[in-house]
Amino acid sequence: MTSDWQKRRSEFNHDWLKNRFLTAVASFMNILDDLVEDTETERSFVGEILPQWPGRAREAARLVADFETQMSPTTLFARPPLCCCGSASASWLPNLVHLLWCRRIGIDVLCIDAARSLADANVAYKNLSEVLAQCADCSSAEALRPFLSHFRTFRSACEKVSGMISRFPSRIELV
Amino acid sequence: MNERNTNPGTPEALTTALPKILVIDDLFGRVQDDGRNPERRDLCGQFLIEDVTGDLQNGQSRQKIKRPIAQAVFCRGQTPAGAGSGDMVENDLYGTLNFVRQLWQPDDGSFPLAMVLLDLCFYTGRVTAASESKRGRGMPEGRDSDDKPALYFGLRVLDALNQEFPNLPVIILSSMPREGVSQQFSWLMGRGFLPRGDANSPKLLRDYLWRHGLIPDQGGRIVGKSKELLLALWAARRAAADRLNVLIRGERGAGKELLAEYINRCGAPEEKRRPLVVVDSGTLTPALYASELFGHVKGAFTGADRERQGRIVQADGGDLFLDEIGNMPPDVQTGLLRVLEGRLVTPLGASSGRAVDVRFISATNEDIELKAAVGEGFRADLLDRLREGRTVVLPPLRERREDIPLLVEQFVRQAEAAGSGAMTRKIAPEAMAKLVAFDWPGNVRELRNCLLKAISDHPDVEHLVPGHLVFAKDSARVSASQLSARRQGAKGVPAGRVGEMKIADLIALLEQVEIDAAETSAWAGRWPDLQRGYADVTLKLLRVALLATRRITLQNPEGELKIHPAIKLLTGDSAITATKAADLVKRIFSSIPEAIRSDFQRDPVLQAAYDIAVRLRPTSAKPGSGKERQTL
Repeated sequence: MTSDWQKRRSEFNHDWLKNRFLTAVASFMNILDDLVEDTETERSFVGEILPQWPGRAREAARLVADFETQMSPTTLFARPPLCCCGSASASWLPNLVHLLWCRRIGIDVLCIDAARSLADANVAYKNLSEVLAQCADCSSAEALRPFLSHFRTFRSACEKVSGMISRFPSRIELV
Repeated sequence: MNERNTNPGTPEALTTALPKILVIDDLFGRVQDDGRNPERRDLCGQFLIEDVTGDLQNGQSRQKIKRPIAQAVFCRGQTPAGAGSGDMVENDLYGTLNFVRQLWQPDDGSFPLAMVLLDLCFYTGRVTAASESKRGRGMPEGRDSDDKPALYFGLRVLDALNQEFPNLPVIILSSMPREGVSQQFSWLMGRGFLPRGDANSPKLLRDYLWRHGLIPDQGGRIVGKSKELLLALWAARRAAADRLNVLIRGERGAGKELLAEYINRCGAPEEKRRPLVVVDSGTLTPALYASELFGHVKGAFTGADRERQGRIVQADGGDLFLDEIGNMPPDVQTGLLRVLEGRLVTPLGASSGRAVDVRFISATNEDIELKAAVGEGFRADLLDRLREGRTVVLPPLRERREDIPLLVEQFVRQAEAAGSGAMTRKIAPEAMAKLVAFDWPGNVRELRNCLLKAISDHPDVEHLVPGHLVFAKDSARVSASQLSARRQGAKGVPAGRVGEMKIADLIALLEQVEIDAAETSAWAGRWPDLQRGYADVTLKLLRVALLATRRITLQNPEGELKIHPAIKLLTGDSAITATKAADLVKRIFSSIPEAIRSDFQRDPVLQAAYDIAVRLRPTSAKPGSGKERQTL
């Protein structure tokens, strides 16, 4: 059975970030690079697509924070057959399993790296937003072209976030 | 990839044609209820591909890819393609395969599919407000099984495509991690994995198209869009990817040298292109061959009044094209083998050699493998070195007839450009039909000559009509392959070995022989010749059958000759007994006229067969009786 965390990750990383957001960013970058003419994307990207990031970034932060509790093998003790183990065992075994699991998959490093990549992407987004605030016409590729390097930095940071989120295990694993 | 051709003789359509890819993906293949698909537009913008599906009503027209890599046709892989809120979406393997069939065999004269980009995870179930909010308009909720790697619908499609279209390259295009499916993907013959959201997407796609795509020669030198040719070009590009030696097989006039040039061109970008030196073995006498290839020092032989650099040294750092290698004299083969083994070439008469870095691209229209296998005329170890596991088969023109109109167009325009007149000729449909129907045993070269002659003989006509075309008499007969194809009821003979084609030619020739009973005087005095020829052919067939049925073991790599299976093969009679087979072998030998008997007694294979037959049937049929000849 697919866990709720896994579904949330799939919705964020697969359905939204890779399939839609990064694809739109990449397409927009090609417009700025003068490889594509697309008036619709040109007009809507900064106003409609880009602002989706902050809300989704918060979602990603919750995802990272929830990983340890929702994907830990201790959750297996809440359902059969492990829920049937005696109370004596149940008092120490889940904690031990959790600690061993944390150590085995390097949970600290994983979560810290993911949080850091998210923070980097948020900084890149903030910088981009600041420079865009000074842009006279955010619906014109011509006017946006001077900020290409900021777009690139943001895109690269988003790709890193996606990569980091992908690194989390995809199922609840026993130690 | 979208390189413009500079060759004035090549039709523009050939060089501007973009590879066509099929994208099978639930998100990018769907049509929203408003007739749009913004995600598809973004994907096209990201990968620099032109959407030519034609299923969207608006929006897409506002996008223009300035230098597209490919044209893309999109398919959802599910029904309904245009799902809206409340609809149930289900995977549709049958419909997807039907869609691929239409694109793989285009009936509109367009290029066949170059490649498929295939998604892994296809969401199914009901389309709800929540699912549309999460995944996009028209996207369903998804079922638990949809995103389980082992159950991905994309893998089922990959399996089915591999079964039905094994030559169609399929690349996985997915945002799902590769690790989860790497094993199934390999077993199901996926050719690559293209991640979504990668900054280098266009480059990755371009690389995949180059490495695996069935795409025409962008340089416009090799003209054609048939799958047979595109597969040969693909094999050539793969062979060009490293510096291993390559063997090209193809009939005369099929364009082996052009393919060698293509391999040379594909091996490196233009600015880093290595030289290609051509040696046409067919034009060299045995005496000159070694000198041409290895060079010589002054005084190496009579007439060598100055030092001469060989072709191998000239090709140092690049490629050497050896055409018609079947003509290579034995001593040159030995010398070439030394060069290939040591990467050192020693000119004739020299005491020391020079290190060289040369890739050998060799070509033949002979069954060189058979020659090497039977140890007649070509060294097996040299053949192994010359092909290093890579053989590219160039299809004959009769197996790629759909390319003939393109070639005709090119040759006619070239001839017009070369001439002084500014006339642009039209080719009458009847003339084109004749050109397409003809078998062209001399392949592209013969087609070109035919057209050049037609234009040269009729310089003042605007329309080429059947009456202007002169087909070579000796090739106007129905060819062996065509006869064979007719017998099989197939469009063409499957690509086979040159040896098989020769046998087919021989059979067809024998089938076409008609002896007019009224012309008995013409046969006067020719019966001994006929008898000799008949025995000659029979013994050669027996020899081939003996070699073909040898039992090769580790202990006996040369193979053990057995007459029983050889006679079964020769006669087609699987029930024939060993003793009857021995009798038949003895009868064959007894039918040989005295005049040529000694020739065959010197042949160890035939002699061994005769000895076995005599050992098995020491007291059977007497040699030389007319009855036995009749039996055979």
